[in-house]
Amino acid sequence: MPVEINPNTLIVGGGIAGISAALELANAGNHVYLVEREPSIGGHMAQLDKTFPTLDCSACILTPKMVEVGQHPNITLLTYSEVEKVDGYLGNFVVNVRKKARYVDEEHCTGCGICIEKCPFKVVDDVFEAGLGKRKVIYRPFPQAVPKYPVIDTENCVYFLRGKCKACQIFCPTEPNSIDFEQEDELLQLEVGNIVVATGYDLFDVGKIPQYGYGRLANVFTSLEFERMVNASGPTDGKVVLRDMETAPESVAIIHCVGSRDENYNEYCSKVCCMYSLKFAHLIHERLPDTEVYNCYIDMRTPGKGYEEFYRRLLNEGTHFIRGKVADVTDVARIPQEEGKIVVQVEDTLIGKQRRIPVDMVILSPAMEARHDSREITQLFKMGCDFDGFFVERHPKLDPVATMTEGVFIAGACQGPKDVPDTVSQGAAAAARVAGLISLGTVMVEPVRASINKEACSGCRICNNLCPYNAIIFHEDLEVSEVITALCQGCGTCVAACPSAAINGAHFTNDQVFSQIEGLLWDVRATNGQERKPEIVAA
Amino acid sequence: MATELTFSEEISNLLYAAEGNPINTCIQCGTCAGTCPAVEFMDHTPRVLIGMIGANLKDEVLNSNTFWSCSSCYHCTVRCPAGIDITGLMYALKRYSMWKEQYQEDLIGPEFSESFVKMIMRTGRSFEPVLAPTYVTKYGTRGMIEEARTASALFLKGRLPMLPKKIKGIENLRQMVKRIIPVGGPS
Amino acid sequence: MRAIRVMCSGRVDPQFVLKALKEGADGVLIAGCHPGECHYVEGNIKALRRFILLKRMLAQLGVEEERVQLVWASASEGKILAEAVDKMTEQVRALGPLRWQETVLSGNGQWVEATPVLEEV
Repeated sequence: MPVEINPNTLIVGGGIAGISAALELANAGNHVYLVEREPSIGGHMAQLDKTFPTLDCSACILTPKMVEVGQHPNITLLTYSEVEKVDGYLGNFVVNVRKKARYVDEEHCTGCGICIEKCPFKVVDDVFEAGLGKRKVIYRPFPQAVPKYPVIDTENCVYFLRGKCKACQIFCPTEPNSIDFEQEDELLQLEVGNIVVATGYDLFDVGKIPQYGYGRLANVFTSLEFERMVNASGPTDGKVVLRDMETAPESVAIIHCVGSRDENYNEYCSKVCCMYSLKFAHLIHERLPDTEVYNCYIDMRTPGKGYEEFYRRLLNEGTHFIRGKVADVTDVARIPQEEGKIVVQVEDTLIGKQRRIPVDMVILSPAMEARHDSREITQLFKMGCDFDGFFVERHPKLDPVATMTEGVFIAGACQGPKDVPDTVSQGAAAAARVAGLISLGTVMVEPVRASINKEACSGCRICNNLCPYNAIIFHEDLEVSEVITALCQGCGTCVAACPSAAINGAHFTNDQVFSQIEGLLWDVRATNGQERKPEIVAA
Repeated sequence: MATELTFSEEISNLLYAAEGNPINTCIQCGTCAGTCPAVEFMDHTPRVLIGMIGANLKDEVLNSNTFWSCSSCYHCTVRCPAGIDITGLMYALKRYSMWKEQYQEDLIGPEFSESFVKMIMRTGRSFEPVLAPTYVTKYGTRGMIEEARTASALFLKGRLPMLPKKIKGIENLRQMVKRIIPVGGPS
Repeated sequence: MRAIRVMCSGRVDPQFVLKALKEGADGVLIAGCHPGECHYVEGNIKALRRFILLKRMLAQLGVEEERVQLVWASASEGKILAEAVDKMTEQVRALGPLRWQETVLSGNGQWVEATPVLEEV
């Protein structure tokens, strides 16, 4: 059954996975719509300082790619936008996207940043600076943001709250003025042939583990906070300091496996935490050579090119490695040396002894989790997600970027915890799969499909909810259901359920299966009623 | 922070004098304990001992018999995946333990080693009659009789001289040994 | 053992099972992927629901419950399937032929109270 493939592609998520996929496709001459929820693309990678194990500066390798995306003639960048509805099927998706109002006219804004400079109000930046730094109310998440246009945060903007200020508009030098308080959300409808979902991950909320003291003890940090702190363009200009923003710690404990490898939170190993915890230890040694660093781990998991070597390097640098899951982080001192310190209590399982390590700073390495709204995303794109909320690939080994819905692909950490190299490979792999379909132009889909006989359909709608692919629609006017052939995967669940036998499962029709049963049992039927050997039929 | 050396740093420093990597490269794999032929006589395996040094458990380490039970077969050193000279570490711990005069009671090792080293420094040769008193009483009367029997047999064949002989150039040997082995406590 | 292939255990219409029994089969084994591993997302869950209803109905018709079984065996678990088939063959052999004509159609079968299988699932 032939289906034509629209050569345009939608990529959802502007992190490094989405960026890689978008560039691969665009460079191959295909048009790409890149939709990103935040005001700038870049994702989590833009927040990082260094990337393990080579310690490349994250921004240095990412920003050129971001700029390339921003300037690429084949890429339509839709930042500060969200996908609202997806209709259609392989080759012919119709996607509704809401482009949220930035209150900045992208056509005229030059990105000069004067509005940001003049804005008189600052708020804590919970997203990009992980709560460590502040940003203006009209802002650009970071200086290298793509696109360069700022966004007004209406929740905190004094004009939106109280109706006055307008400093940004007054100082805007462009002609006509780029600040537009009347701007409204834009609703776009895109027609695309394929979709790549690369929505990334959330970090585990470390507050769920009270014994680690986050929020209670000031100098307990999350990995992302530390990542921003150690970043030269971050809120402390790259200085490693305690929460008072000036004192350098004399000792730091890094706690691995926070919210991972733990049945109370996430059962899985989050894969990247060992490596980034090692990276943190290295960065602390680099910035503060006299500071003692303790890494408390359950198992040291460093599989990857150059990763184990990096671990060896850290061993040589004199990091203290303590094998044991930290039990408690407390400020209650038992001996004078612990006064005024944070005490990390852990069993050193290698010597079978409990240790209490007094430190100035604790860094928690939380697990990568599926996005909090990943279940809604799966419904939007008709994919499956596993128990942990990560999207399910078509085959865990042989088809890691396709999903059970044809034309929808996944890439990056939305499929499972992943480091940057793996994410980039998946982005490229998804792009290759899409490019393959585009270059075919028309693809044949398996003809095992269900169809509904309109005459026989009673409009009971039993099949509507049974279909795992939402391939059955109901025509209100005609009071009959219809199978969208391109969405149907041919499982036959609806065929078996239809009370009026109105659904026909091609190649597995009731008549065909009945005839098969009769054929298989022709010999026993002939002897029915007489003594004979029992027979079993398996379906 | 650390102006005063920690125990693990002291031991690491002692090891730098020998070949091999410092002990903080240990990945706690257990190859040393797995290969060790004398491990059943040890109260802690070599791996645990390295872990305890890392945790600065000085008293526990010095009161352990692990390094005194080492037979210097070098099996662990050859197989260590982190390139640590574990046998060298055992010697370092023996020296350290003797300098600090802190070791488990009723061990033959410390006294034996001391008299052995003194003897070598004096004559340049091993001379059993001087060494024997340090261990010969440990094995009971029967052991003593057997030792005496062996000694008299050797004596009759002319293999056991009455008095120790000095080697030529004993002064050179003394200087060489002093150059190679760090003598005296690190602090 | 005679096999009928369908795309998914969700495609198994209870009619197929009845048809097979009527045509002279002494037992029917439905094999599907494990719950949660369905190639078609959730077809096996639908199959399970139908299977439970079907079993209640067959019990009322006087068909022994060993005659219709459901087994979770994915494509790579040939051994599990083989064991299930062997086990079921033994059970059905012990029961003897079904005799659909006498047992079901002529109402000679004993009226068996529906066993509350639903709770067990």
